[in-house]
Amino acid sequence: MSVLSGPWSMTRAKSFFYLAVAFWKRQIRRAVGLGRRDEGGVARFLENYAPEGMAPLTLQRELGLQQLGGCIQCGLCEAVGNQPADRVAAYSRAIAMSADAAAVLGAAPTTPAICPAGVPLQVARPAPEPPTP
Amino acid sequence: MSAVTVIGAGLAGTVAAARLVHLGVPVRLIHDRPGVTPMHGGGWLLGLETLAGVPAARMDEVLAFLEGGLPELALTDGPFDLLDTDGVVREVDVAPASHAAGASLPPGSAAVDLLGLGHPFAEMCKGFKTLAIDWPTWPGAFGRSYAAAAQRLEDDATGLDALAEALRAALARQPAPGLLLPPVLGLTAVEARRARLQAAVGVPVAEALGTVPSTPGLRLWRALADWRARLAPGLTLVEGRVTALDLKSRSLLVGHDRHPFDALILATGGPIPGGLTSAGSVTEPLLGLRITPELACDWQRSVRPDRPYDADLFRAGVAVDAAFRPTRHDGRPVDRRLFAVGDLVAGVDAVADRCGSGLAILSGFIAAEAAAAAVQGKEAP
Repeated sequence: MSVLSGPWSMTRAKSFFYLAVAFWKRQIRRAVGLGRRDEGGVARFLENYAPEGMAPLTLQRELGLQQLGGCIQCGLCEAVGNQPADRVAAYSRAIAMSADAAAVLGAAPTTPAICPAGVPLQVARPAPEPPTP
Repeated sequence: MSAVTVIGAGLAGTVAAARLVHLGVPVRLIHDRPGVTPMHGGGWLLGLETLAGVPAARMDEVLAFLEGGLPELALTDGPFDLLDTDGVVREVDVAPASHAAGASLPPGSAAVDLLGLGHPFAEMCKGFKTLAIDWPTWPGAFGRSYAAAAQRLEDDATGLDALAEALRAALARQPAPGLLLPPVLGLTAVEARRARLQAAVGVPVAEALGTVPSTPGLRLWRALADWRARLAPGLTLVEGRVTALDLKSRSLLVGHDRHPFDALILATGGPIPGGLTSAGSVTEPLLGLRITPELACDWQRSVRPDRPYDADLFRAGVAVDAAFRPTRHDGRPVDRRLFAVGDLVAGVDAVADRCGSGLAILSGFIAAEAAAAAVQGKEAP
């Protein structure tokens, strides 16, 4: 049996050694208060992903997003708004997945009673024209 | 006595809730957003052949109960052969009167295209003349839906007179002994509006059935909401999605609010509203109930352009006993106070077996009676 490939090879022994060093180093750092004892996995997750808009959802926000994406394409909104129903449906699907949802959910809900799915119809409100230079 | 809780306010859930209230049992009805109710085309398929084990008198009793609960639909017993807005002839068992009138239109009648609304409907109706008019109070409304037109008739008191005037002018140019319109005659009190229009134009008038998305389905949705409103105070409506459900402690969460129950009726629907989900295999997401047939499949991958209809897939659902109680592998109920109704039930393909409406109302009705007996202590041993 080769020293390099056997069950107790030098490579494996070195791996265990490094693991043991890392473990005890962490234990000592935590014991003397240098570790990140108070920071859980969520904090480290947020540190990595929050800048990209991937924050954890609150229950309220999750329910709001389900409402945003709930368009059943019945077309009733065409009777009260200027936008075609296709536009509401498309925006309903798209915005429920996007960071813009925060703006829509944060705004005062203007869902008319006419929408059977309760979609806030401002999702499809055309964006204001940019100011001309 | 605590309330029986019904999850899902479609046809099956509302019938179950209404039956419970009539039996003197307080009901909590939890509803989120519309499932397949707004897709109802207006033609009711009872599937009397499929549900052959049900005595005819029982079905008559259920239908009478339904017609009493939904008077604004003016449901009329068939069978009828009726055209839908795609020009397809549908054989239906029951239909609202405005559609049922289509079965007795005289030969040589005209189908009416409402220019700018929906799609060219008349050219798809074989055997009908074509009459085209502009929607009088909404000219040039290109791309607008029939549902929106129906809503505008609700909102505009003069709209029906203007429509009658436009139809009279068109009939003066091109006479016809009857008129078939797309389903645009409002979302409530449709039969009264059709009768007024018929009197104004002087020839029989009827509406075609709907296709998805459907004005008749929205009428049914509103009629069910009106029915629920009339059931207060016996019925308590809770809006929101069930976020947790525990059968042992007999309680569930809607958002952050906890609701106890004595018996539970699941009317959460099939795959479209999320009563059944498929992530590798078909599952019932709230309680993980047993599904038959057991299918290791994914709906999105199973329904392909070359095989758009997979019968096994649509027959999958929660296995139930004769009282619509979900069962284990040995056939015993999971819980004597748990019921599953409507599209959630296994073994029936609501479309292929032409029994979607029949299954919903019958299962809701029977499960409600069993749930009432359970909580009132009248359950058979």
